[in-house]
Amino acid sequence: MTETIKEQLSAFLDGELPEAETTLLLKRLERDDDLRATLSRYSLIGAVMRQDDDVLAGTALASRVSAAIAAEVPAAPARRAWAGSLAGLGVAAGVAMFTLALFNSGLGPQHGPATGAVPDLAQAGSAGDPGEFVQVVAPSATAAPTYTVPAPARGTAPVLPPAQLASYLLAHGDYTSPIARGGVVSAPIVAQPAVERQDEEPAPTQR
Amino acid sequence: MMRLAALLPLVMLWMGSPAAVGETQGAVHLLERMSLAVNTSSYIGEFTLERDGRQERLRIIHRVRDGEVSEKLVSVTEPGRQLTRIGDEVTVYLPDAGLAVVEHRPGRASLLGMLPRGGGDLTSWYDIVLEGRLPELNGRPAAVISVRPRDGFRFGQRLWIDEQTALPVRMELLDNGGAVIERMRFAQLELHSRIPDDRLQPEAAGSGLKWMRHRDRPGAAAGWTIVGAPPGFKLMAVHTKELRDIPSPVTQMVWSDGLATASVFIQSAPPGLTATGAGRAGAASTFTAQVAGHQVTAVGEVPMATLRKLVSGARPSPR
Repeated sequence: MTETIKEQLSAFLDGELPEAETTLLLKRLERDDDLRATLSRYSLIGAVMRQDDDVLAGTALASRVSAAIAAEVPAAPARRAWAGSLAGLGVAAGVAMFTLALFNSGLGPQHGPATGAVPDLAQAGSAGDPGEFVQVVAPSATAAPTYTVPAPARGTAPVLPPAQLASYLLAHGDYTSPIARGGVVSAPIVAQPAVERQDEEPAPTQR
Repeated sequence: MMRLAALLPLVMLWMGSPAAVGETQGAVHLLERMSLAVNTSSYIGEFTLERDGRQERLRIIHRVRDGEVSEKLVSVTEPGRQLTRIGDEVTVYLPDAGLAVVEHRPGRASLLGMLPRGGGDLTSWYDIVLEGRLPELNGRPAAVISVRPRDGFRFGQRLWIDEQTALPVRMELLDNGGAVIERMRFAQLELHSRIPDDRLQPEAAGSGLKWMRHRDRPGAAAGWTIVGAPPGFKLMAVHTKELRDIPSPVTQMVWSDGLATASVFIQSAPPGLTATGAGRAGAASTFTAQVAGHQVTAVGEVPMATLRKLVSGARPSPR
């Protein structure tokens, strides 16, 4: 990887890469695994330097980039989100969280923007600059957090009675981790019926 | 302005060995360590679960003593909601649903039965990468693992793992677009060499609960098979159990790709219950359909397409 590309990545994350170059970089990211990994690392470092308290920024950025690539249009240059401050190198103990995994398993057109994001409840709506990335999931720093919950089920009656569902979740829980079994305790035991719909079989993910 | 790229070597050195970042083998090893640690260690902790706009705090007590597992999970947010595992019985108390469900499965408490298995070809279905290292997370060094599915039949994960204890500090379940479906993070988590019995006793769950007791039927044959399971998913276990108020036994088939797990439950279609459809309960989804006069339901923390494929492939075995 050339220094020029590294400079472009850095400028892209700084929101300072010209549109024309952004277009080319996004196309290159689509086919270059190493480049995507490098971008992910850069973002990680940037977030650490900025003392980010969460990773949703990365998810949102990934969504934005994925969407841009899917549409084959340049992504709007990101506002400078974490550049500038070097004070983050002295991160206080236990504070550093970071942005990770900018990309899920691929950036191909079948991967639309993230719509089911769970915003960080500890972050959304907090005081201070939420940053452009956070705005993707929480429209403003003052608005109540919004959530994209899977489409509400339609129908007239639950598919499974609560006792049956609870029993199934309990039995299934034996084959998950102890922590995942917390879902049995925390999940509202109310089955939601949905209209039968035939999904297409998932296509293999681009690598 | 100083470009970030110029700082890369310094920061990477601070985060850990540059060679380790991006590595798969070390990440898989750490995942295996985590899976083992979370099942075989004794610990007490509190964590939050966030999903669907809800945040819930839970306390977990997990004890392994003489090869026997006991545990208690209590909702701090919803008092009375709890799960206890004592001996071969697991009980979930759901006061808001007016239910207490008890499942008795001989050998259930055995540690051996709970150990992770079948993870040999995880990398066939996931890209597993060590994303980075933090010198301190909750005061301890942590590694960050990214698990990205290679197709749409499984979800991704991102895990922050304590490098000393291999216990997870934080986990995220990611959909196929990379969005967070569920987030778990420990506020506190401590290893305990001795956890007294009284810490594992159920807390007051209120009165007036309807008790449902289910019992495994030993030696019963499943009589069902799944044709064309999603790629990578293998049959791990089959149980048949008797449910109170349900005349015919219920068969549970457990399918896993080594990381994601789904259960398929098959029982004679109860009278009046012929519905087909999908549902959700926390991070788990359900899909139910009628097959050969039976109600077939798949449950798991997997995409709906996976559950549909399992259900649509259910067939009575030729006798």
